[in-house]
Amino acid sequence: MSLITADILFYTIVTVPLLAILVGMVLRSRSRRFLVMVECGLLAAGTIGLAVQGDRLITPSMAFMGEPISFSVSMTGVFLFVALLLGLISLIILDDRADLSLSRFGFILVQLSLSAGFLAMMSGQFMIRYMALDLVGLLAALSVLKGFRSEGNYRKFAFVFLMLRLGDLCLLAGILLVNAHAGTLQITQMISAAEGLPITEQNWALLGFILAVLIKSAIWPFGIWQRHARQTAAPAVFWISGFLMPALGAYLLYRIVPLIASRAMLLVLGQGLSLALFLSILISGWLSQARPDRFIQLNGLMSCFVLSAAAIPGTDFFGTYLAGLILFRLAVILAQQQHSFTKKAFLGMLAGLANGIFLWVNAGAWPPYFSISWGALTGIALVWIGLGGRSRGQQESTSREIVLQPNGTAWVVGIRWLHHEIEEEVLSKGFLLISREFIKSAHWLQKHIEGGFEKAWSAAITGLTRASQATLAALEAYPAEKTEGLVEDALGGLARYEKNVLKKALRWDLALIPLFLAAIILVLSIV
Amino acid sequence: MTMHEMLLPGVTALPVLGVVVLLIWRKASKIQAAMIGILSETCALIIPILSLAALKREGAIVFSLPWIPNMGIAFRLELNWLSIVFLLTEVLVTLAAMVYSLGETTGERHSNYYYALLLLFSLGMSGTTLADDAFLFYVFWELMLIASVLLILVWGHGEQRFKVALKYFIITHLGSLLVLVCLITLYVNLGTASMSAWMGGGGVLAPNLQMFLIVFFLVGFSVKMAIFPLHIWLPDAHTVAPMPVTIILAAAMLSMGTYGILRLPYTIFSLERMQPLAIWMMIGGLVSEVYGALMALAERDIKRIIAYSSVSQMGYILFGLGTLTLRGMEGAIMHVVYHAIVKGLLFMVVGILIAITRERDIQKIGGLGFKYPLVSISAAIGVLGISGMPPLGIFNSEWMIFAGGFDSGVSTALTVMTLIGSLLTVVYGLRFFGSIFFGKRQPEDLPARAPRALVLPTVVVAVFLIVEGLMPGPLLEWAMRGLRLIFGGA
Repeated sequence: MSLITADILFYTIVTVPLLAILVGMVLRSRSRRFLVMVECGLLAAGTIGLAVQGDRLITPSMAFMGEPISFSVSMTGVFLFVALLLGLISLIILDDRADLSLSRFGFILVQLSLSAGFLAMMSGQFMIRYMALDLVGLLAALSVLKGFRSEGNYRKFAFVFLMLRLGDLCLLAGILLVNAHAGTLQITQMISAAEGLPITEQNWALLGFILAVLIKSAIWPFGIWQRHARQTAAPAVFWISGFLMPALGAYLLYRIVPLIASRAMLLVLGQGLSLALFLSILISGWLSQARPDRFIQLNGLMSCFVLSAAAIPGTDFFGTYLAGLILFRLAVILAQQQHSFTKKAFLGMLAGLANGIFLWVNAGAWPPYFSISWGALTGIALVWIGLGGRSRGQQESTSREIVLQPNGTAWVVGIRWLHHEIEEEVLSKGFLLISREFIKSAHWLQKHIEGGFEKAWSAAITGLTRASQATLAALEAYPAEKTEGLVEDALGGLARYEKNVLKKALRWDLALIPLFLAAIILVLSIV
Repeated sequence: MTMHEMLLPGVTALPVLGVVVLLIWRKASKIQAAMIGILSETCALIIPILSLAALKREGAIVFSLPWIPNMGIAFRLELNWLSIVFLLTEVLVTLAAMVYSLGETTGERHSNYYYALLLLFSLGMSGTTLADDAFLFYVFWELMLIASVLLILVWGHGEQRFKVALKYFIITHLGSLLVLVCLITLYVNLGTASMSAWMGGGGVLAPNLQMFLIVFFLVGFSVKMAIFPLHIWLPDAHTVAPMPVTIILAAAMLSMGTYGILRLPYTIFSLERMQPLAIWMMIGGLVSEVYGALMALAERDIKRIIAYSSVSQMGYILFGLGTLTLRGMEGAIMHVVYHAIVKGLLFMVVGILIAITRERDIQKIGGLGFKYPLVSISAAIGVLGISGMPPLGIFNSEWMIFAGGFDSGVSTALTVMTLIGSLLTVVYGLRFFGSIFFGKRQPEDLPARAPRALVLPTVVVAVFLIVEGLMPGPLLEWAMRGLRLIFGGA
């Protein structure tokens, strides 16, 4: 395949979903499902076609905001995207709803996500990647909406959008911090340059990147946004929140691995963080009285494994592992639709298989304690999946319907109560609480600060007006008598003067002066 | 004198001609008066566009006539890369407001005076951006204020307009007086009123005097920018003014403060001299950003919500200027333009909402999304735009401003706070959009459709916002060229 053909193929993959929107708008809802499946097949074939040439850099000699745009086609990105496409096809085929329809709105969201997701995956430049990620975040939030009527859905949309936007802003902070030192937005060069950043700034940048990864990968408690998408979005549209977004988060992590690997301390912290998050998800699931959604929890667990793998030097097949986990997510969704324990167990075994193969491949390179931990955690996750093998529909995933039952020993009840408080009061209602408090504080500011300005202004103007009025009144009252006196004096003086003038005899000789002057002027003008 | 130099005074002369015609033609109907206004502004817009090629060649186009020779004061106009950005923004905003005026009731009576004053308002801003003489600069600066005060006074809403106009006049005039003090001091000390001659010349002044002048300039122009706590004139003025005037006030006039800061203290004094104030400007920007957003969140009046968002957005600009870096200032200039488009769009949407619901209380409006899809899409674009969502323009400018913050090396924490603080914009934007367009509650007696004369310009501006966001190249280039006045370079 020539270089130009590969470039054309790349741009075709980006534009096909956008063109499909035009076609899909005139199709019936069932036909739209079919269109998406065919399109995904074509896109997968195209992406594999790109991969045939191996890793390559596509530079379209275009710039955005003065920064050259580039795309890097890597095997990891290709694997991940193809796995995502397979996931989408499967979700559409396995959709268990009776009407089997894909709304026009949902169709547009999916198409835009395909295009933006591909760009985010392949972009070799951070600004374009950020823009694509931001767009996917918006689309994931929009997937929650169901028309203009429901205010409740809008609140969920707002929550999802705000959470994902927070993740984006954290990412932006990380990118710009590194960019300030690297002087470029090309990802590879930036990450290399980031290794030479001063420690404080490197920490800030890493904090931004990791927070973005945690939010996008939807790891508990950073991923509570995913719950809303799970509850409301149709299965095919949930692909954006449940598959694409976590995959983009994981891929972002994959790109910053060299930065993590550059400091031993970060490796330890990364492992510690992933273990802490892993345990917190398990404990949260165990303590939960509300039968939380298994997909969301397993999604979090998988992301913890990814985070853990990123914090181990010498990890091979990381990209393949990421792609495998996308298919595992699909298996979890499938398991939720099964009623048979055997089938669930089988699907659950897939997780063990994915992690097990990864452990087997890397066991030689990893420290023994890590291999053992990995294996143990995989086992725990497997058992947990097996124990949780009851059918739980999407509607059951809210914990508000469940009333706390004081079962078990006192301390278990206590912990469960504590957990319930954290889960419900802090995490679920926390957003509302923060929003309310925020608005309250804004009202307080409005009343006291802004109102204070208004009062100060009014007081100043009133004071000035009163002072002016008082001055004017004083001036008017005082000189009124004086002015009258002055006028009377002046008039009296004038009368006296006139009297004196009239007393004097009229001097006719003086009348000759003007006549004399007139004569001079006349003479001069003639001359 | 080249043709472009001869054409340059046309930018100020054509609106004056329009004003004269409108004053003579007292019986002009609204549409006739509007046509004259729009024609004058369009001609004034064409001149700088025609001059672009010459500007690329020569770097600046200057027109000069002696005015008060004994005092060294001249009618001297200069079109450069910095002024053209502000000039085009201002003229385009005025044009959009004039077109929008046709769809609403403002100016039905005394239409000739209304459009004449709009032209004078625009003339004040055009003249401010073009003036290269301190005396002329101040004359245009005050003309801008007088015209806008009269517009609020005569065509403003409610009995409060007298008080509001007075407040607006006094506070902004106080800011102008600070600027005047600086201009006179510089004139006396540097011996000329030519602003070009002042460039880089501030260094000869005593260090204390330099600092005093910089502070006075910054405070004076910050009043016009409505930076917290100097913003108190803005919410009332924006609320009481008729919608087209509000659009010009928010989208164009606020940017004059930014232009003033860039054109005067930044070109006269060295950046090293400004350095001690950088962190204060950045802090001021952050406080204004957060405070404006919180006020927008607390407000119930839809016009005031958007008005307060201007306080917040001006905070970003001040932050960008405070970074004293090329990227930060580029971002600030770009933000001026993008803010003008977004704010114009949002106020247009608010105007439509008020026209169809006759309500301004956000709690009494709801569920309009399905009924008025074009309005809701335009509003969504506006809200996403102001939230900094790519590829809508403000994303580009915010990127540059935050990048400037990190480049400056002043305080990483401060930049991170400003960056995360931008989430508040999303919060009030979502509240604004959700309350108005979602839910089942609707005001009664809604018209079947929104007035087309209002919707059409709104949709055009929304499309323009998307196009501008996708193609930031020319604007970025102009901003970069404009900043050579400050940073130097070929």
